[in-house]
Amino acid sequence: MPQKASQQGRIKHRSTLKLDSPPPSKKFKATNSVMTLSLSPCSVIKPRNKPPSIPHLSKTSWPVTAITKDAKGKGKVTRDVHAESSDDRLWVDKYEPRSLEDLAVHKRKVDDVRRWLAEAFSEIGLSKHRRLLILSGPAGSGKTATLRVLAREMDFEIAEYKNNTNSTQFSALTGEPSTSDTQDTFATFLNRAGSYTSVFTSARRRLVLVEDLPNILHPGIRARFHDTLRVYVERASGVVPVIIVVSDAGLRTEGDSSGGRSLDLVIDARTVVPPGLPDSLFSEIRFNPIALTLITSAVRRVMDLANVRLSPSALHTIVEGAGGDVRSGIMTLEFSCGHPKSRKQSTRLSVGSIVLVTQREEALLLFHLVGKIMYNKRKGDSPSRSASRKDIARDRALDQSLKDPPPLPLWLAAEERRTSRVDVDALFTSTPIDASLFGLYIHQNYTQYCTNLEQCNSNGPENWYDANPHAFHIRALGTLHSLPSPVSSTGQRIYKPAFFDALQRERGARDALDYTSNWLSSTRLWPLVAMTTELGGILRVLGRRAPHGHHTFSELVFGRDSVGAKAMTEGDVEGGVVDYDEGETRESHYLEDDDIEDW
Amino acid sequence: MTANFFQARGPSKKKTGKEKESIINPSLQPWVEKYRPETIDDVSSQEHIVSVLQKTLSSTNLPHMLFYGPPGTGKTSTILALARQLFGPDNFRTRVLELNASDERGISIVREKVKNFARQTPRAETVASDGKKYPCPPYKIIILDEADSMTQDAQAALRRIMENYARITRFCLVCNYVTRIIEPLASRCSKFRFKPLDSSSARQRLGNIAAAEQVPVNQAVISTLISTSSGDLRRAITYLQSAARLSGATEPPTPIFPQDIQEIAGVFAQTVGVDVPPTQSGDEDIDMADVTPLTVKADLRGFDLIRETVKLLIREGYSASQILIQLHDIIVEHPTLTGRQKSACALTMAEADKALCDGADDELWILEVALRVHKVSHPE
Amino acid sequence: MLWVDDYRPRTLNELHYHVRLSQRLKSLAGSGDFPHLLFYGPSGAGKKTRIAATLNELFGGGVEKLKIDQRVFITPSRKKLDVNVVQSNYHIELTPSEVGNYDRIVIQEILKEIAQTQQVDVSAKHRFKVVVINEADSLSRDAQAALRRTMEKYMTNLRIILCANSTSRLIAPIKSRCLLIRVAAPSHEEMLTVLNHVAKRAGAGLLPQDMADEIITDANGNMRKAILVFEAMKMQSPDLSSSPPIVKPDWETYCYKVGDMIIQEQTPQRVMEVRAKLYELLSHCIPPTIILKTVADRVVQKVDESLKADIMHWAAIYENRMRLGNKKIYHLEAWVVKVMSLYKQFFLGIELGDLDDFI
Repeated sequence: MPQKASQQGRIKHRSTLKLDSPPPSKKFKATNSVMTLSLSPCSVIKPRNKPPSIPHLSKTSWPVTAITKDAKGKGKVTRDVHAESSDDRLWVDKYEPRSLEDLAVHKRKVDDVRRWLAEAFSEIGLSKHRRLLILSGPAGSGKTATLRVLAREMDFEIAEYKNNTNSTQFSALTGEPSTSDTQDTFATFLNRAGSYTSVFTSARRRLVLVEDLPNILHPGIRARFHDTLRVYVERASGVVPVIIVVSDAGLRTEGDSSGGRSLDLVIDARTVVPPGLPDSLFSEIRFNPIALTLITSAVRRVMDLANVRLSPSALHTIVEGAGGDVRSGIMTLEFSCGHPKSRKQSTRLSVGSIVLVTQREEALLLFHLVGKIMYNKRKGDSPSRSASRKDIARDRALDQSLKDPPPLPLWLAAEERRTSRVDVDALFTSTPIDASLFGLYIHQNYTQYCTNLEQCNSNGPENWYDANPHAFHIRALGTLHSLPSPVSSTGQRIYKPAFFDALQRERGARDALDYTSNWLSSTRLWPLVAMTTELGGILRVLGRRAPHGHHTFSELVFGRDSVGAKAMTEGDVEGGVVDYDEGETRESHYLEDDDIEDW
Repeated sequence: MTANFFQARGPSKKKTGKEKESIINPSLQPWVEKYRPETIDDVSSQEHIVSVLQKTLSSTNLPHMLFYGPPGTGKTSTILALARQLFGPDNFRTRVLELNASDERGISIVREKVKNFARQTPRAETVASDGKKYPCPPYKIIILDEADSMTQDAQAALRRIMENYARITRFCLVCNYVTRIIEPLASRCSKFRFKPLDSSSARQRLGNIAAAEQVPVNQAVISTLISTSSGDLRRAITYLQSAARLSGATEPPTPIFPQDIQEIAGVFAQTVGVDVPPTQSGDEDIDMADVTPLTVKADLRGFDLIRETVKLLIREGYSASQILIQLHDIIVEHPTLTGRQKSACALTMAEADKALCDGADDELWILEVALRVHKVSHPE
Repeated sequence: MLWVDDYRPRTLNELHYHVRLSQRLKSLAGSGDFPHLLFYGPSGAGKKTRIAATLNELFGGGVEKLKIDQRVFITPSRKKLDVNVVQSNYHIELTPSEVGNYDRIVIQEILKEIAQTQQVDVSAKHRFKVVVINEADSLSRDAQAALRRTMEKYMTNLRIILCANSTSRLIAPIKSRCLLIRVAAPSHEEMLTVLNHVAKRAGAGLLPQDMADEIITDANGNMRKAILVFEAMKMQSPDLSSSPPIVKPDWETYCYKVGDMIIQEQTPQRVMEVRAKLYELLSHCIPPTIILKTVADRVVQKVDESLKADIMHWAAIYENRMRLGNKKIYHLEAWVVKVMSLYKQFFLGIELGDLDDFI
C-alpha cells in the first residue's frame, strides 16, 4: 500500500516537474521532509540533488486517477497529504533515478527503448508499427525506471493503468471472477487514455503504461484483455503507444514436463500479446538482470543521497545478495540501515546482519534440511573436530534418548544400521518444500556423499514416484539408509537441482522445434521425434541457411555442456517455495557486464 | 472460441443417430451389425445361456442380468436379440436404452439418462406392425456396455439407480471382466458367463456370412480366420469383411488366401518366431534360419543373434503385443520345454504384457522377453 | 525445401516399394467401400507418404492444397489448448498427442465438427471426409474410447486413418474397427532404389555404391533418415566422389560417449558426471527412451557377453518406470547406476576368482 501510493505520487510529481519554474515554497517543503529523515539513525545530513516532492499540485494533472475511482484512489490522496509532513517513502522510490547517469541499466538497452519511443512518436514512417511494446525481464531490472527517465528526457507523459484491487479481491472470493468488472475497466481506460487528449496536458506526447496487468491467468479475462488490446493496436490512426511491463514471475511448476506444454502458468510476453497478432505490430525488449558493477554504483548513489556509509564488505554483501535486482539491493540497504522510525543510532553494520536481511528463511531451512539428510548422523558418531563442547553434550543427550533398534535376523545383516539422529517427522513438519522438490534436491546431491557405487545403487530412485503420499518419508529414510555412516567429508557442497535449468532449456528447444517445423514445410507435420533425432546432421551442414535457433535441439558437443549444478550456500536467496525456478535462472545470469543478445 | 463455434452448430447427438440409420447404405454396414442374430436361438455356441433365457422369454419375467466373457462371444448380440423378441420391432426403440459406460462419462449422466428414459411410461401394444405377437412386458431394458470400465463410485451409484427404478426397468450389464464389477452390484444380477466360441460353430457362422455375401472362401481361409481371431467372432467377421473388401475391390475379384487374413490381422507368418533352442526342436519348431521374412547374419550367436532378430522383427513393423501372443502359443505348446521352463517364460511374458500396456517401448520389451526365454531354454 | 519433402512420392503409382500394398490401397480407394484404416510400422518406413498417396487416390490432387491452422480448444477446466491442424477440403490431419492428457477433447471436438459438416465440394468423389490422426499410439485411453464411439457413429460422413508406430498401445476395439495396414521398413535393395531415384531427381549424379551401402546401414530401415543423411553428405561434398563420412546427428555421438563414460569408471563421482550429460541430452528434447536405448546399445557392445542380457533387462525395466514416473532423469540415472554396479561386480568377480555364492 505505501509503495503503491508513493508510486502514484511519483508519477504526479513527474508531470508537475514539467512546469518550468517551481514556486519557492516547494523548496521549503522539500527541506521539510528531509528534516524528518535526518532523524533516522543513518545520520542523514543533507541530500544533494534531493528531488522536490510536491504531491498536492499533481492531483489535478492526472487524468488517469479519475478512472481508478475506487476506495484506493481516495486513499492515495490522503496518503499524499500525509507524505508532506514526513517523507517516509521507501528509498527505492525516494531516490529513484532521475537521469540517464543514475540509471543502472545498460546503455544499449536504454538506447533500444529510446529508439522505439522515438519511432513511435515520429509523425511518419514506423509509428504505425510501434504501437505495442513489451518490456520484459526479471524484477528490479530497471524496466519502469528506464521508462520514467526517458519520459523526462524525451518529454512525454505516462498514463498508467491500475487494477481496481477491490473488485479483483471480491471476485477471488466468489470464485467466479467477474470478468466484466476488471475488463471493462481496462477497456475504458485504454480507450480514454489512448485517444482522449487531456484538458490539462495540452498536446503533449503521451504513452500508456500497463504494469499492473489484469489477472490474465484467468482464460476469460485474458481473452477479453487480448481482444481489447488487439482492437486498440490494430486501430487505424491516432493511437498512443502502449507499453506493457512484464516481470518474470516464478509461477512455473515443474510438473508439466511430460506432455501438455500449453499450460500457461507464467505471464510472459507470449501470454500478454494477443495470439496471432502480426509481429510487425508489437516489439519486445528484454531486460537482463543488472550487472554487479551497475548495482554497486546504484547502491553507492543511494548511499550518497541518503548519506549512509557502509564498509566495502557490507556493500559487497548487499550487492551480491541482490542477485541482479536493483530494487532488492536498495531495499536491503535501507533496512540494514535500520528503519527510519526506530531512533537507534547504528552507522556501521555487520556483514552478518545484512546477510540476515537478504536471505529468506526458506532457503536456510532447505539448506539445513538437505544437509541434515546428507550428513546422515547416527547414534554414537564421534563428534567432529570443530564441535564445541556444548554441541558434544547435546549430541550425547540426544543419543541417550534414542533407542537402539531390535537386532535384525542374520540374513538381513547387511541392512543393519545404527539409530539415526535425524528425526524425519520433525524435518517433514518444518520443511519448506514439497516432496517432489525435495526429491530433486536429494537426487542432485546424494552422489557426493556416497563413497562407493553400491550406496548409489541401493539408493536408486526406485521409490521416487511422485504420486506416493509418503514420498517425503520414503526418500528421506531411503536416502539415510543407503548413505554411508559416517559420511566421509570431502568438502562437499550442497547443489541446487540442475533439473529446472534443463527443463527451461528444453522449453527453449521446443520453441525452436516449432519454428523449425514451420521452416521445414508449411503443409506437413513432421513427427517431433524425427525432427529431434534425424535432422541434426543436415541442419549442421546447412549452416546459416538452417532455421534460427535449431542448435537448441540439434547441437550437442561433448564436453562443452552447460548443465552444471549451482552450489547453494546458507545465505542463498533462492530456493523458496514459489520462485525456485526463477532463482535458477537468475543465478546463471550473474554477469560482469550486461549481456545483450543482438542477433 | 472455435470450440464454441462447433458446439453452436452441432445438432444434438440423437438426431445424428437417427440420420445415420435412415441414410446408411446396407452395403456399407459392418457385417458385424448386419449379421447380428435375430433371435436368441441364432446365437452361436452359447447353448446353456440360450436355454435359460428361453425360459425367461416364455415367462416374460426378466431379472437384472450380468453378461460377462471374452470379447466377441455374443454378449451384446444376445441381449439385443432377447429384447427384440420381447418387444418386437416397433417398441424396441422406446423400450431399450443402450449406454456405453466409457462413452458417457460420469454417473450423473447415466443417472440423468436413466431417469428420463424410465419416466416415460411403457405403452403396451402387443400386436406389432409385422403381424406377430410380442409379449411386451411392462418394463424397459437398459443395457450398460463395458460396465467394467466404470469406476467403483459410479458402480455404487448405479446400484442405487437400479433399486430406485427396479419396478419399471431391467438392467443388463455387459462386461469382459466380472471381477471388476463390485460385489453389491453383481449380487443383484443373474450372472451369465459367455465362453469362447468353439471352432465348429464359429466356422459355420463365418461360412454362412461368406455365402450370404457371396465371398468365395475355402476351409483354409476360415481356419485362419478362427485361429487369428482367437475365439472372438466379431474380430473374425471384421477380418472376413476386410479381406472381402480387398479382394472385391480389384477387377476381377482376387481370391482370398490365408496369408491375406494373416496380413489383415497383423499376425506374422507362422514360421517367424523368436529363439527357442533349435537343438531341442520338434518338427514344427523354429530354427533361427527359418525365421522367414527375416534373414539374420549367419555369424551371429547368443546375445547378438537375438538382438538382431528382434531388430528385424521391429523393422518389419509387427507389433509387440502380437509377437507376444504368438510366442506364447509356441511356448505353451512346445514339445520339449519342461513345465518349469514354460512357467518361467510365462512369467516374463506377463511382465512384458503389463509393461506394454503401460506404454513401454516395444523393442526393449520384446528383446527382454526373447533374452529371458533364451536363458530359460538354454540352461547352462 | 529438403529432398525428403521435395521428392516424396505423391501418388500410389509413384511409390517404390510395397507394391502389393499400393495395389490394395488403390483398389480400396476405388471401391466406394472405404474402411477406417490403421497404418502401422517403424518410423521412416513411409506410412505418412502412403497415407498422403491414398488420399490423393481418393480425392485427386485437391488434397494437396493444404493449409495449417492453429485451433484453440477450451478444456472443461477452461484451460486453453493449441493444436496444429493441417487440412484440405477433403481431409484434416492432426496430432492430438501434442496436448497430452487433453487429447480426448481435441478428438471429440474435431471429429464431431467434421462429422456434422457435409462435404462442401459437390464434385468430390466421396461423400465422406477423412481424418488423419498421427501418433495414434500415444493417444490416451480416454481419447481412444472416444474415438471408438465416433468411428461407429459417424461412419457416413467420416473415415479415420490412424498412423502409429506400434499397435500395442491401441485398445482392441479400435484395432477391430480398422483395416490394419502394416508398413514394414524397406529392405536394403528397396532403399537403394529410392536413394538412386532421389539422386537422379535432384540431379546429384550417380550415387557411389559403397556410400549408398553405408547410408542404408546407418539408417536401419528409416527411409527418411537415409535421404536426410544423403542430402547432408551431398551438401558437404557436392561431387560425392570423396565419400565423406556419414553425417551423424550430434546426439547420437553424444550418447555413445555417455556409454563409454559408464564403462570407463564406476564411482559416485562418475554418476554425477553422467547425470550432467543426461540432462544435456534431455534439454535438447531427445526422447528419454531413445537416449536409454542408444546408450544401452553402446554399452552392450563393449561388455562381456554374460552382462549383456542383464543390462538390457534393466533398460527395459527402467524404460517402463520412466513412462510411469514424471522425472525421466531419475530413471535414466538409476539405470546408469545399475549398469555401473553390474559392471563393477563383474570385474570384482574376475579379480577375486570364485565369488559364485555372492553374485
